[in-house]
This record gives sequence, structure tokens and C-alpha cells, in this order.
Amino acid sequence: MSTDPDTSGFQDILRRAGEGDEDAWREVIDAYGSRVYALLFSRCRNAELAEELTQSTFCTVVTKLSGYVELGKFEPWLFRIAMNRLRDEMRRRGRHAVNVANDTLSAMDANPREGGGHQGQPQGSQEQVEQAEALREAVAELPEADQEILHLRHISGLSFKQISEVLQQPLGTVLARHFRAFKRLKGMLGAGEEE
Amino acid sequence: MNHLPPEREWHIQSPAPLGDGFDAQDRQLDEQLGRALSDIEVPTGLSQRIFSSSLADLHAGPRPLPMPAPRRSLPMQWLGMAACLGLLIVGGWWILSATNPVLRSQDRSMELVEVTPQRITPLELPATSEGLLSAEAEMVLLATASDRDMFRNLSPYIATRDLRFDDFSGDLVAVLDAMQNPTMQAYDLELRQ
Repeated sequence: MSTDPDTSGFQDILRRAGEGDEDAWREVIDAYGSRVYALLFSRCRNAELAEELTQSTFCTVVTKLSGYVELGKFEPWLFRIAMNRLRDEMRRRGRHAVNVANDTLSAMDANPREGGGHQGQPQGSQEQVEQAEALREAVAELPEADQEILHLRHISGLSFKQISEVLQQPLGTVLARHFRAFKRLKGMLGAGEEE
Repeated sequence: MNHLPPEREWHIQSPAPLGDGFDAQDRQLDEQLGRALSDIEVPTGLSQRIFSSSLADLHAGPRPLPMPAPRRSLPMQWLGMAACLGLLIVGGWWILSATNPVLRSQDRSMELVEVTPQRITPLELPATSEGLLSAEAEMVLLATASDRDMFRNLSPYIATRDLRFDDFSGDLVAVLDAMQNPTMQAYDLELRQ
């Protein structure tokens, strides 16, 4: 069955999961568990914390799924819960999300990347690996809010409209932030190449 | 380090392409950015662990919403605020009056006005310059005395003016009191002769 949230098939899966159907609930987890984990990991750079928050997110979702009525807004709803979980946890720990600039490489190396990951991209050349690392480092230099938009776009696969719903900001604000972040990123990469 | 392959590929669908404000080079950079950022490995067995941890909640059904905090109506809030303000004013006035000497003196003056001492004026009979009872006073005294027997021994002395007024005025007052107050029948009249 389709896991595209916009299709009626997926709406049926959600409905059945809300009624306690284990198979339907497993399909929802298969469709979104990895994406939620990846988003949380990209924000906190801690595999254990990301998994803990992912489980917490889905526990929250399943308890409220029967009351979910906003068709076509499941993804923004899900990722908003995940981001709120992350913010609550960071607030509880008394610190902001880890500055990726300092921790990215060490955290990536410290966490198991079972499928190969960027350490050994089988298809990519060394140049592509270095380019990807340069991109991640450049993103880490951006303000937290700009990073958030890029992560929601490229890791969660959300549209700008959905990102605006997750962040509860006007669409124009999100677009302007993305444009500015992208231009800044481009400038940073250009400056790096010139050097 | 566990090098098992991931249990599931999680390639996301490509995000929506960039808008008109971006050129071909930007779009290429955007694609590279997407590949770099989404290169995050998912731990093996993540979906199963998520499923296991949420299974109990799946069968528990929807949780009841937490009870909202009781909200007081606006008039009650205003009433409460007014009561607090009134208490504050009364308390402040009381403290101020207790510490302000001007207000305290005003209170005392009011007490003096309210409480007037009752003074008992002593019986004053007109006396001569020598301290003797005048003849008119003697006549008034004898005429107003109802119990003449009690004055039987007294009157000659008064009449002959052998006694000074001061010598017997106290006794006379006592006799008059005894006559006006029947409960003082046991009064022991002592006359100094």
C-alpha cells in the first residue's frame, strides 16, 4: 500500500493504526521512523539521544493518532512533534543543540554507520566525499534556524509549505531564510574554493 | 563497531526543486547538499525498537487529555483584586495611624472629649470670713434637716457658734448622706465636741 501521505491509501493506514491495527502502525513506522531519526540525529549529533527521542515521538503520535483529522498534514505534524521533543530535551539538559561545527566530524566517526555512510561511500569518489564533508561543515557554520530549514528540506524531505507548518512560521519567512542561507552557503563554498 | 548493513534504505524523495531565483548551478549545489545532509546511517533494528516501545501505547488507546487548570471568570478576578486592594488600603492606614504622632494625638483628644470625669462637688455652705457658719447657713441647714433628733445635740453648738464650720462640716455632709441614703442607717456619727 502507498505510504505517500497525500494518498487515500495512506490515510487509510493512519486510520487503521489509530484504531490499534499493528500492521498499519508498523507501516507508519517503516515509512517515517528512519526519517525522524535522521532529522533528530542531524540536529543533536547523538545517536542514542536521537533514537530515544524518535521512540518518544512515535509513542506520542500513536496515542494521538485516533484524534488526527487533518488530512494531508501528517508529515508536518509528525516532524513538529519530533522537533518539540528535541527542544524539550535540550532545554531540560540546559543547553542548545550541539554546534555541529565542532562536533560533526567526531560525532559522525563515533557513531556506527552500518550501511557505509560517508566514511566509505561505495559509489562516490574521494573527491565527492570531501565535497560532502565540506558541505556539511559549511552548513554547520550557518545559524541554527537556517540549519533547521535545510535539515527539514533535505533530510525530512518536506516542502517549504510543510516546513512553515512544522516551524509555525509564515511561508514567506521560511523562503526568505532558505534563500539567505543558501546564498550564504554558496558564498562560503566559493570562498573555500578560491582559497 | 557494528558494520551490519542497514535494515532498510530510507532514501527520501527528492525535495521540491528550487524556485525561479536560483540558476542551474544553484540547483546542482542543492542536489549535492541534499546528498551530503541525508547521508545519515540509521541504526539496525530501529523500526522494530520503535514498534516495540510504542506497542503498549498502540493498544492503550488515546490518552485522556490532561485536565485544564480551573479558570476563574473575569468578574471574580476583578472582585478578588478589589478585595485585595481594599485590604491593602485598610492595612496601610492602620499602620500609618499607629506610627504617625499627629494622628495618635488626634485620637487622644477625641478620647478626652468623649470621657468627661464626673466630679463630686463637696457641700459648700456659705461661711464667714472667720470660718464660722453664718446664721443664714445654720437656718438653712436646720430647716432642711428632716431628722431633727439627729441635730438635737448639734444645733446648740451651731447656734452658740462654739464650733468652727470646718470642725463639723464633714460630719454634716455625712449626716446628710445618711438621710438621703437609707442604706446608710448604720452610719456611726461621731461628733467632735
